[in-house]
Amino acid sequence: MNIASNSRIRSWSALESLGFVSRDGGRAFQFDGVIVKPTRQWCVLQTDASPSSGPANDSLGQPGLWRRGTDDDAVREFHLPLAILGPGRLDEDGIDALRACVDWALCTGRGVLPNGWTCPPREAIESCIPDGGLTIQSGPIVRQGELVTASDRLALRFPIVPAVAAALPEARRKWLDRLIAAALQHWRMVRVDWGGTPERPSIEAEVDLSGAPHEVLDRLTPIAVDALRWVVEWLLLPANIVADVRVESDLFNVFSERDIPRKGA
Amino acid sequence: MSSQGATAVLPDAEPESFTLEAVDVTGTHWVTAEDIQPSLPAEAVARALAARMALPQNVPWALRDDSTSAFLDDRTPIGDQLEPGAQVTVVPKTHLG
Repeated sequence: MNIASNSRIRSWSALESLGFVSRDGGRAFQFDGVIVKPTRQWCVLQTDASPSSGPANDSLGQPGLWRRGTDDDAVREFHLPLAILGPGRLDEDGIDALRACVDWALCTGRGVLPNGWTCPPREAIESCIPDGGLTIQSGPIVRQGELVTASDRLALRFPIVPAVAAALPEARRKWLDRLIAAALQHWRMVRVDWGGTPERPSIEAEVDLSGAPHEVLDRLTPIAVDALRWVVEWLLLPANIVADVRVESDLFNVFSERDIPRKGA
Repeated sequence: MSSQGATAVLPDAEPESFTLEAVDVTGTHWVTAEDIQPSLPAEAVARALAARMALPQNVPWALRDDSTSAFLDDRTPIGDQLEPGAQVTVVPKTHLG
Protein backbone atom coordinates (compact mmCIF):
# COMPACT_ATOMS: atom_id res chain seq x y z
CA MET A 1 0.00 0.00 0.00
CA ASN A 2 1.38 3.37 -0.94
CA ILE A 3 0.89 5.38 2.18
CA ALA A 4 0.89 8.61 0.24
CA SER A 5 -2.40 7.61 -1.39
CA ASN A 6 -4.03 6.58 1.87
CA SER A 7 -6.90 8.96 2.32
CA ARG A 8 -6.75 8.37 6.06
CA ILE A 9 -3.23 9.66 6.36
CA ARG A 10 -1.90 12.01 3.72
CA SER A 11 0.67 13.75 5.76
CA TRP A 12 3.27 11.17 6.59
CA SER A 13 5.56 13.78 5.17
CA ALA A 14 5.23 15.25 8.68
CA LEU A 15 7.80 12.62 9.58
CA GLU A 16 10.28 14.26 7.24
CA SER A 17 10.49 17.21 9.60
CA LEU A 18 11.88 14.75 12.13
CA GLY A 19 14.48 13.50 9.71
CA PHE A 20 12.69 10.44 8.38
CA VAL A 21 13.18 9.46 4.76
CA SER A 22 10.74 7.44 2.71
CA ARG A 23 11.64 3.90 1.66
CA ASP A 24 10.04 0.79 0.24
CA GLY A 25 8.03 2.82 -2.24
CA GLY A 26 6.53 4.98 0.47
CA ARG A 27 5.42 2.07 2.63
CA ALA A 28 7.88 2.92 5.37
CA PHE A 29 10.09 5.69 6.69
CA GLN A 30 13.47 5.46 8.33
CA PHE A 31 15.62 7.60 10.58
CA ASP A 32 18.64 6.68 12.64
CA GLY A 33 17.87 2.98 12.93
CA VAL A 34 14.15 3.46 13.52
CA ILE A 35 11.70 2.34 10.86
CA VAL A 36 8.13 3.66 10.82
CA LYS A 37 5.59 1.37 9.21
CA PRO A 38 2.11 2.88 9.01
CA THR A 39 -0.81 0.51 8.69
CA ARG A 40 -4.49 1.28 8.42
CA GLN A 41 -4.94 1.57 12.18
CA TRP A 42 -1.47 1.72 13.63
CA CYS A 43 1.77 3.56 13.29
CA VAL A 44 4.41 0.97 14.14
CA LEU A 45 7.92 2.12 14.93
CA GLN A 46 10.48 -0.61 14.83
CA THR A 47 14.10 -0.86 15.81
CA ASP A 48 16.66 -3.60 15.79
CA ALA A 49 17.01 -4.97 19.29
CA SER A 50 20.74 -5.55 18.95
CA PRO A 51 22.97 -3.48 21.28
CA SER A 52 24.63 -1.78 18.34
CA SER A 53 21.33 -0.06 17.61
CA GLY A 54 21.32 1.51 21.00
CA PRO A 55 19.12 0.57 23.95
CA ALA A 56 15.41 0.34 23.38
CA ASN A 57 13.63 0.26 26.67
CA ASP A 58 11.11 -2.53 26.42
CA SER A 59 11.06 -3.87 29.94
CA LEU A 60 8.32 -3.46 32.49
CA GLY A 61 8.61 -0.11 34.18
CA GLN A 62 10.43 1.60 31.34
CA PRO A 63 8.91 4.71 29.77
CA GLY A 64 7.04 4.48 26.50
CA LEU A 65 5.41 1.73 24.49
CA TRP A 66 8.50 -0.14 23.30
CA ARG A 67 8.18 -3.89 23.58
CA ARG A 68 9.06 -7.09 21.73
CA GLY A 69 7.87 -7.25 18.14
CA THR A 70 4.68 -9.07 17.25
CA ASP A 71 6.29 -11.13 14.52
CA ASP A 72 9.95 -11.02 15.42
CA ASP A 73 11.59 -11.33 18.82
CA ALA A 74 14.71 -9.72 17.41
CA VAL A 75 13.07 -6.33 16.97
CA ARG A 76 11.48 -3.84 19.31
CA GLU A 77 8.27 -2.13 18.36
CA PHE A 78 6.28 0.90 19.47
CA HIS A 79 2.61 0.58 18.54
CA LEU A 80 0.84 3.90 18.19
CA PRO A 81 -2.91 3.68 17.53
CA LEU A 82 -3.80 6.12 14.78
CA ALA A 83 -7.19 6.72 16.40
CA ILE A 84 -5.51 9.11 18.81
CA LEU A 85 -4.78 11.49 15.95
CA GLY A 86 -8.47 12.09 15.36
CA PRO A 87 -10.91 10.86 12.74
CA GLY A 88 -10.54 11.28 9.03
CA ARG A 89 -7.73 13.04 7.27
CA LEU A 90 -5.05 14.53 9.43
CA ASP A 91 -5.50 18.23 10.07
CA GLU A 92 -2.87 20.57 11.39
CA ASP A 93 -3.48 19.46 14.97
CA GLY A 94 -3.28 15.83 13.92
CA ILE A 95 0.02 16.39 12.19
CA ASP A 96 1.41 18.12 15.26
CA ALA A 97 0.20 15.26 17.41
CA LEU A 98 1.84 12.74 15.09
CA ARG A 99 5.12 14.62 15.30
CA ALA A 100 4.88 14.77 19.08
CA CYS A 101 4.09 11.05 19.33
CA VAL A 102 7.00 10.07 17.12
CA ASP A 103 9.25 12.29 19.21
CA TRP A 104 7.90 10.47 22.27
CA ALA A 105 8.83 7.16 20.70
CA LEU A 106 12.30 8.30 19.69
CA CYS A 107 13.06 9.73 23.13
CA THR A 108 11.82 6.70 25.08
CA GLY A 109 13.67 4.48 22.63
CA ARG A 110 16.80 6.13 24.00
CA GLY A 111 15.58 5.65 27.54
CA VAL A 112 14.65 9.27 28.21
CA LEU A 113 11.47 11.28 28.44
CA PRO A 114 10.69 14.10 26.02
CA ASN A 115 12.20 17.33 27.21
CA GLY A 116 10.11 18.96 29.91
CA TRP A 117 7.50 16.18 30.16
CA THR A 118 5.69 15.78 33.45
CA CYS A 119 2.78 13.58 34.35
CA PRO A 120 -0.63 15.27 34.08
CA PRO A 121 -2.80 15.50 37.20
CA ARG A 122 -3.92 12.05 38.29
CA GLU A 123 -7.56 13.11 38.29
CA ALA A 124 -7.32 14.00 34.63
CA ILE A 125 -6.15 10.51 33.75
CA GLU A 126 -8.68 8.84 36.05
CA SER A 127 -11.46 10.67 34.25
CA CYS A 128 -10.38 8.91 31.05
CA ILE A 129 -10.73 5.45 32.60
CA PRO A 130 -14.20 3.91 32.41
CA ASP A 131 -15.89 2.96 35.65
CA GLY A 132 -14.68 -0.52 36.58
CA GLY A 133 -12.12 -0.38 33.83
CA LEU A 134 -9.32 -1.55 36.07
CA THR A 135 -11.17 -4.59 37.42
CA ILE A 136 -11.12 -7.80 35.43
CA GLN A 137 -12.83 -11.01 36.40
CA SER A 138 -12.44 -14.25 34.49
CA GLY A 139 -14.39 -16.96 36.21
CA PRO A 140 -12.81 -17.66 39.57
CA ILE A 141 -9.97 -15.23 39.05
CA VAL A 142 -10.22 -11.50 39.52
CA ARG A 143 -7.54 -8.88 39.19
CA GLN A 144 -7.32 -5.21 39.98
CA GLY A 145 -5.12 -3.10 37.80
CA GLU A 146 -3.53 0.10 38.92
CA LEU A 147 -2.88 3.51 37.57
CA VAL A 148 0.70 4.46 38.34
CA THR A 149 1.43 8.17 38.48
CA ALA A 150 4.49 10.09 39.55
CA SER A 151 6.14 13.26 38.33
CA ASP A 152 8.00 11.26 35.68
CA ARG A 153 5.75 8.26 35.31
CA LEU A 154 2.35 7.38 33.92
CA ALA A 155 1.41 3.76 33.44
CA LEU A 156 -1.37 1.21 33.67
CA ARG A 157 -0.46 -2.19 35.08
CA PHE A 158 -2.23 -5.44 35.74
CA PRO A 159 -1.01 -8.47 37.62
CA ILE A 160 -1.74 -11.62 35.65
CA VAL A 161 -0.03 -14.13 37.92
CA PRO A 162 0.97 -12.07 40.95
CA ALA A 163 2.99 -14.75 42.66
CA VAL A 164 4.61 -17.62 40.77
CA ALA A 165 6.17 -20.29 42.94
CA ALA A 166 9.93 -19.82 42.90
CA ALA A 167 10.29 -23.60 42.60
CA LEU A 168 7.94 -23.86 39.63
CA PRO A 169 8.92 -26.86 37.48
CA GLU A 170 10.90 -25.90 34.39
CA ALA A 171 8.33 -27.30 31.96
CA ARG A 172 5.61 -25.10 33.47
CA ARG A 173 7.86 -22.09 33.33
CA LYS A 174 8.44 -22.73 29.63
CA TRP A 175 4.69 -23.00 29.10
CA LEU A 176 4.32 -19.63 30.78
CA ASP A 177 7.07 -18.21 28.56
CA ARG A 178 5.15 -19.54 25.59
CA LEU A 179 1.92 -17.96 26.77
CA ILE A 180 3.70 -14.63 27.15
CA ALA A 181 5.16 -14.95 23.67
CA ALA A 182 1.74 -15.84 22.26
CA ALA A 183 0.21 -12.76 23.87
CA LEU A 184 2.91 -10.53 22.40
CA GLN A 185 2.34 -12.06 18.98
CA HIS A 186 -1.41 -11.69 19.18
CA TRP A 187 -1.84 -8.25 20.72
CA ARG A 188 -0.29 -4.88 20.04
CA MET A 189 0.80 -2.16 22.40
CA VAL A 190 0.82 -4.11 25.67
CA ARG A 191 3.94 -5.36 27.38
CA VAL A 192 3.67 -8.76 29.03
CA ASP A 193 6.62 -10.05 30.92
CA TRP A 194 8.00 -11.57 34.06
CA GLY A 195 8.22 -9.15 36.93
CA GLY A 196 8.46 -9.26 40.69
CA THR A 197 11.61 -10.60 42.33
CA PRO A 198 13.60 -13.83 41.98
CA GLU A 199 12.05 -14.97 45.24
CA ARG A 200 8.55 -13.96 44.23
CA PRO A 201 8.32 -13.77 40.43
CA SER A 202 5.16 -12.58 38.79
CA ILE A 203 3.69 -12.13 35.33
CA GLU A 204 2.39 -8.68 34.59
CA ALA A 205 0.90 -6.66 31.77
CA GLU A 206 1.58 -2.99 31.29
CA VAL A 207 1.03 -0.02 29.04
CA ASP A 208 3.48 2.73 29.87
CA LEU A 209 2.37 6.18 28.80
CA SER A 210 5.25 8.05 30.39
CA GLY A 211 6.26 10.78 28.00
CA ALA A 212 3.07 10.68 25.96
CA PRO A 213 2.02 14.08 24.60
CA HIS A 214 -0.65 15.51 26.86
CA GLU A 215 -2.87 16.41 23.94
CA VAL A 216 -3.43 12.75 23.01
CA LEU A 217 -3.91 11.27 26.47
CA ASP A 218 -7.68 11.70 26.54
CA ARG A 219 -7.88 9.38 23.51
CA LEU A 220 -4.87 7.22 24.27
CA THR A 221 -5.76 6.32 27.85
CA PRO A 222 -9.06 4.55 27.07
CA ILE A 223 -7.35 2.70 24.21
CA ALA A 224 -4.60 1.63 26.59
CA VAL A 225 -7.17 0.39 29.11
CA ASP A 226 -8.98 -1.59 26.43
CA ALA A 227 -5.74 -3.06 25.12
CA LEU A 228 -4.76 -4.17 28.60
CA ARG A 229 -8.16 -5.66 29.33
CA TRP A 230 -8.08 -7.75 26.17
CA VAL A 231 -4.66 -9.14 26.93
CA VAL A 232 -5.33 -9.78 30.61
CA GLU A 233 -8.68 -11.47 29.94
CA TRP A 234 -7.01 -13.61 27.29
CA LEU A 235 -4.21 -14.74 29.56
CA LEU A 236 -5.77 -14.80 32.99
CA LEU A 237 -7.14 -18.32 33.18
CA PRO A 238 -4.49 -20.22 31.18
CA ALA A 239 -1.58 -18.49 32.88
CA ASN A 240 -2.94 -19.04 36.36
CA ILE A 241 -3.80 -22.65 35.68
CA VAL A 242 -0.29 -23.37 34.41
CA ALA A 243 1.29 -21.50 37.31
CA ASP A 244 -0.78 -23.33 39.92
CA VAL A 245 1.16 -26.46 40.84
CA ARG A 246 -1.96 -27.83 42.55
CA VAL A 247 -3.47 -28.26 39.08
CA GLU A 248 -2.06 -31.52 37.86
CA SER A 249 -1.82 -32.42 34.20
CA ASP A 250 0.56 -34.48 32.13
CA LEU A 251 0.50 -31.60 29.65
CA PHE A 252 2.27 -29.35 32.12
CA ASN A 253 5.01 -31.86 32.84
CA VAL A 254 6.46 -31.76 29.36
CA PHE A 255 7.21 -28.82 27.10
CA SER A 256 8.19 -29.16 23.48
CA GLU A 257 8.51 -26.39 20.89
CA ARG A 258 7.66 -29.00 18.32
CA ASP A 259 4.11 -29.12 19.61
CA ILE A 260 3.56 -25.36 19.34
CA PRO A 261 1.52 -24.31 16.30
CA ARG A 262 3.34 -21.76 14.16
CA LYS A 263 1.82 -18.60 12.80
CA GLY A 264 0.60 -19.28 9.30
CA ALA A 265 0.78 -23.04 9.76
CA MET B 1 -23.07 -29.69 57.49
CA SER B 2 -21.42 -31.21 54.54
CA SER B 3 -18.78 -29.12 52.94
CA GLN B 4 -17.15 -29.15 49.59
CA GLY B 5 -13.86 -27.45 49.91
CA ALA B 6 -11.97 -25.74 47.21
CA THR B 7 -9.23 -23.22 47.25
CA ALA B 8 -9.59 -20.21 45.05
CA VAL B 9 -6.41 -18.33 44.40
CA LEU B 10 -7.14 -14.66 44.12
CA PRO B 11 -3.64 -13.29 44.39
CA ASP B 12 -2.44 -9.75 44.04
CA ALA B 13 0.69 -8.20 42.65
CA GLU B 14 1.60 -5.88 45.51
CA PRO B 15 3.01 -6.73 48.93
CA GLU B 16 -0.31 -6.22 50.73
CA SER B 17 -2.67 -9.14 50.38
CA PHE B 18 -4.86 -11.20 52.61
CA THR B 19 -6.87 -14.39 52.86
CA LEU B 20 -10.50 -14.82 53.62
CA GLU B 21 -12.89 -17.70 54.10
CA ALA B 22 -16.10 -17.69 52.12
CA VAL B 23 -19.19 -19.89 52.26
CA ASP B 24 -22.44 -19.89 50.32
CA VAL B 25 -25.78 -19.29 52.02
CA THR B 26 -26.55 -23.01 52.27
CA GLY B 27 -23.23 -23.76 53.89
CA THR B 28 -22.58 -26.36 51.20
CA HIS B 29 -19.64 -24.75 49.50
CA TRP B 30 -16.72 -23.08 51.12
CA VAL B 31 -13.65 -21.48 49.67
CA THR B 32 -10.39 -20.25 51.06
CA ALA B 33 -9.36 -17.27 48.96
CA GLU B 34 -5.67 -16.52 49.27
CA ASP B 35 -3.77 -13.33 48.59
CA ILE B 36 -6.71 -11.12 47.81
CA GLN B 37 -5.78 -7.74 46.40
CA PRO B 38 -7.09 -5.21 48.94
CA SER B 39 -7.89 -2.82 46.11
CA LEU B 40 -10.43 -5.14 44.53
CA PRO B 41 -14.04 -3.93 44.68
CA ALA B 42 -16.10 -6.21 46.88
CA GLU B 43 -18.54 -6.95 44.10
CA ALA B 44 -15.79 -8.33 41.86
CA VAL B 45 -14.53 -10.53 44.66
CA ALA B 46 -18.07 -11.80 45.25
CA ARG B 47 -18.46 -12.78 41.60
CA ALA B 48 -15.13 -14.58 41.56
CA LEU B 49 -15.91 -16.46 44.76
CA ALA B 50 -19.29 -17.46 43.36
CA ALA B 51 -17.59 -18.75 40.23
CA ARG B 52 -15.22 -20.81 42.30
CA MET B 53 -18.21 -22.35 44.08
CA ALA B 54 -19.81 -23.08 40.70
CA LEU B 55 -22.67 -20.76 41.56
CA PRO B 56 -24.50 -19.23 38.58
CA GLN B 57 -22.80 -16.20 37.11
CA ASN B 58 -26.00 -14.62 35.83
CA VAL B 59 -26.98 -13.78 39.41
CA PRO B 60 -25.63 -10.70 41.16
CA TRP B 61 -23.72 -11.64 44.29
CA ALA B 62 -22.87 -9.74 47.43
CA LEU B 63 -20.64 -10.45 50.38
CA ARG B 64 -21.81 -10.42 53.98
CA ASP B 65 -19.28 -10.05 56.75
CA ASP B 66 -20.08 -12.91 59.12
CA SER B 67 -18.66 -11.06 62.10
CA THR B 68 -21.08 -8.14 61.76
CA SER B 69 -23.78 -9.51 59.46
CA ALA B 70 -23.31 -6.35 57.42
CA PHE B 71 -23.22 -6.46 53.65
CA LEU B 72 -20.11 -5.10 52.07
CA ASP B 73 -20.39 -2.12 49.78
CA ASP B 74 -19.99 -3.33 46.20
CA ARG B 75 -17.80 -0.55 44.95
CA THR B 76 -15.59 -0.06 47.97
CA PRO B 77 -12.26 -1.90 47.96
CA ILE B 78 -12.52 -5.06 49.96
CA GLY B 79 -9.39 -4.19 51.90
CA ASP B 80 -11.21 -1.17 53.28
CA GLN B 81 -14.03 -3.32 54.59
CA LEU B 82 -12.51 -6.55 55.84
CA GLU B 83 -9.64 -7.61 58.01
CA PRO B 84 -7.31 -10.43 56.95
CA GLY B 85 -8.76 -13.79 57.83
CA ALA B 86 -12.33 -12.54 57.76
CA GLN B 87 -15.18 -14.92 57.08
CA VAL B 88 -17.83 -13.95 54.57
CA THR B 89 -20.95 -15.41 53.06
CA VAL B 90 -21.67 -15.13 49.36
CA VAL B 91 -25.27 -14.03 49.09
CA PRO B 92 -27.46 -13.58 46.01
CA LYS B 93 -28.77 -10.04 45.69
CA THR B 94 -32.16 -11.04 44.38
CA HIS B 95 -33.96 -9.93 47.52
CA LEU B 96 -32.11 -6.67 47.95
CA GLY B 97 -33.21 -3.28 46.69
